[in-house]
Amino acid sequence: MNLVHILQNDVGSIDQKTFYLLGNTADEWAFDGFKSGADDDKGNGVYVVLFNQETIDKTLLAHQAVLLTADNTPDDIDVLKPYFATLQAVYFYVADFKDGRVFSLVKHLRNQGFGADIYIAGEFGLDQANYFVKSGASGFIVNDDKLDTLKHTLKDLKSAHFGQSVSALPMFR
Amino acid sequence: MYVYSYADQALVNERVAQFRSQTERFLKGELPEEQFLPLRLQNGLYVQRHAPMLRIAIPYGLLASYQLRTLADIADNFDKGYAHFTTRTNVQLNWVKLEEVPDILQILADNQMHAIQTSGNCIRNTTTDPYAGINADEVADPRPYCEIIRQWSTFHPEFAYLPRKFKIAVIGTKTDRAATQVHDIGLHLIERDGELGFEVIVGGGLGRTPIIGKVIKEFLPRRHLLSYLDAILRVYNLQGRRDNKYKARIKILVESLGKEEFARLVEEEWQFSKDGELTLSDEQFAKAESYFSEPDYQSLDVLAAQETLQAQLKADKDFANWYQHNTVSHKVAGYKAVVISLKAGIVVQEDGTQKYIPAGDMTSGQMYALADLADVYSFSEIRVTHHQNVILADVSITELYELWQKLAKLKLARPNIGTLTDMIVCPGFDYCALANATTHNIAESIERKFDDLDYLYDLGEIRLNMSGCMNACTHHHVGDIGILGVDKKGEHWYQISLGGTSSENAKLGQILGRAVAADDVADTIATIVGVYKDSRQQNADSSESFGEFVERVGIAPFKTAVYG
Repeated sequence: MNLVHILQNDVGSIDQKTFYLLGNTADEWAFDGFKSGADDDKGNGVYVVLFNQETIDKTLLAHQAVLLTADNTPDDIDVLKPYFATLQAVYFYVADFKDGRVFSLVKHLRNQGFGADIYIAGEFGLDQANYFVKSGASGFIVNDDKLDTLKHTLKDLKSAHFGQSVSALPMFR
Repeated sequence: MYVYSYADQALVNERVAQFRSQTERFLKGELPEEQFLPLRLQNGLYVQRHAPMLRIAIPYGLLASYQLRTLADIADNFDKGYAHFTTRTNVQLNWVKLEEVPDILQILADNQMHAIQTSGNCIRNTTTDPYAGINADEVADPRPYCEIIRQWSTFHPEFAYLPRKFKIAVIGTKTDRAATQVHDIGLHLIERDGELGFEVIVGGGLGRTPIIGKVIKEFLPRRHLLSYLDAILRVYNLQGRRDNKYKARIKILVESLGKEEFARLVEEEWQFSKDGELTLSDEQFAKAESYFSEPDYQSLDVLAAQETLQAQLKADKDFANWYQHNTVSHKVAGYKAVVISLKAGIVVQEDGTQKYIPAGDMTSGQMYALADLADVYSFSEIRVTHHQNVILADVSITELYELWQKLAKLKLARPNIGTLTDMIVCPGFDYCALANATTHNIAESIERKFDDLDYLYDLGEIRLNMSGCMNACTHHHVGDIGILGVDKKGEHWYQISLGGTSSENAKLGQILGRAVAADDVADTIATIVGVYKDSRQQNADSSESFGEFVERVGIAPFKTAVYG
């Protein structure tokens, strides 16, 4: 199996409270699916819960991942901090590719010490992929038909810095 | 000037390859127009009224002569043989073909140039004082800091989809020639207890909601420059408004939060990166400064050179006018900076007809010739100013007369710098898809009205900035006289403001009153400057400037004179 495989329509419906992800394959960004409320194959999968500050304490420990959007804030991420050790991943749903807040939220997660995977899903631009990776994302969820383009755009601007270190600027390398 | 490393070169080459692929996907229908839009914009490509327009970056206004020749080549081979220099010290080509843009970008990359982030909601070209490095009273040369910011902001992965565009300006003198207080971030190099650092001003801007920036940090040690900028940008990226493009600039966020709260948020965010890997070392500053070392100035017999110069000035009134208005003092004795006016105005062509040359336009022929003159007279460097002029920054006074003669043959020696006809004028409705009103016709009518150079000299320095819409590309709010083109039921009208300045005491102009018709603009300007000329305070040595006069008397006398 190759990368991915999201059912975009399901991902588009983030009103649902929980999502279910089948397990990774050998491929670094691979998912078999991203299905809402699935119960099958639970043992190999990851539950994802839609973040909500009021309910997160009750549900988070029973799940293994959390879904955030651009509307979440650094304060929300601070609420997650006690669970960083148990969270397997954080997923960001991008509703509008022009909304660049997710880049900074990903960076904030990393700044706070979150070390597990961060995945980007939704209506992000494939040409933004390398910026997401450099900001701290681990992978993406896309449809099959976007896979080849994504593999290509991930190689864009490979010499560009990550925004993290002065020593990565061209003058100081 | 900065010379690309292997890493810079790899980066611009990768950018060309990326944009070539994006363009191919777009032309094949594989990349939606909506997603291609920010990608092409971040490569400087607009779709204007008649054709795509390509905006090429001139980092902090500095060009090598070979790069100017490259621009001339591109203007000849891909455009209509001329280029337009902008208020952000960039250069625009107005007639490129979309499918040829990747080839143009490759030529630029081969000559250490690019069009990266000259548009779009990202960090744009950092600007500075056009006399950086040659000011006698400079705390430090701001260009190395501009280059560090350029490298940090180029392809910064986190800040490529900001709420709106973002502009930074840096200066090293108390005198502000870079309009820093009307930038998203203005950085003033200062020294405190022997340490270099910055006064940080945030939230200035013009456009629809003009605001003067506010100091949020009185002294930022220079080693923290990037980590602090990083914190400002992150706060803005996360909290800037995205629901209304007219409220999305950082100035609106700073206004709504208040400068204290904004500064607090930045300070809080800064703690994540302060003293971390974004901290700059003295060795790194030294390396950056090494690219901007002084050229090999010749040791002159200054007294003898001055004597010769004085004789030349006495013998030739035209040269004297040019010397007085188009040359600027230099920190090195025996040298001057020469300002070349790109406000040619109305030019008599070879066939005897008259033609108005838009402000900031230069033909490819002029560009080739100017590059040659830079090689001979100014260490092969050219600077572009936000007043849409160009500068040869290091000219020996022994060569001024010869240079002036050569510039005159190229129609590049108009002695009008600082006068009313040294107007900043945007392309306006004739080219720009955003514009509401034409500007070139108004500038031409003002040129015809004010064709007496002695009268212009008598008026003294008056900055006239004219924009064709509220986006204020020419900074009309901070002109002594600002003109804003507006559309009223399909007709172009012009609103006039007075008393603005972008200098160290930055101030927004006051709107005079109702807009005037296109045919009345030049006469209205004549009335306004007439009020000033007749009532200004003068003594034997000096006279009150236009700005000082407006400050003293307000706009009431002008209103009475214009509207009765």
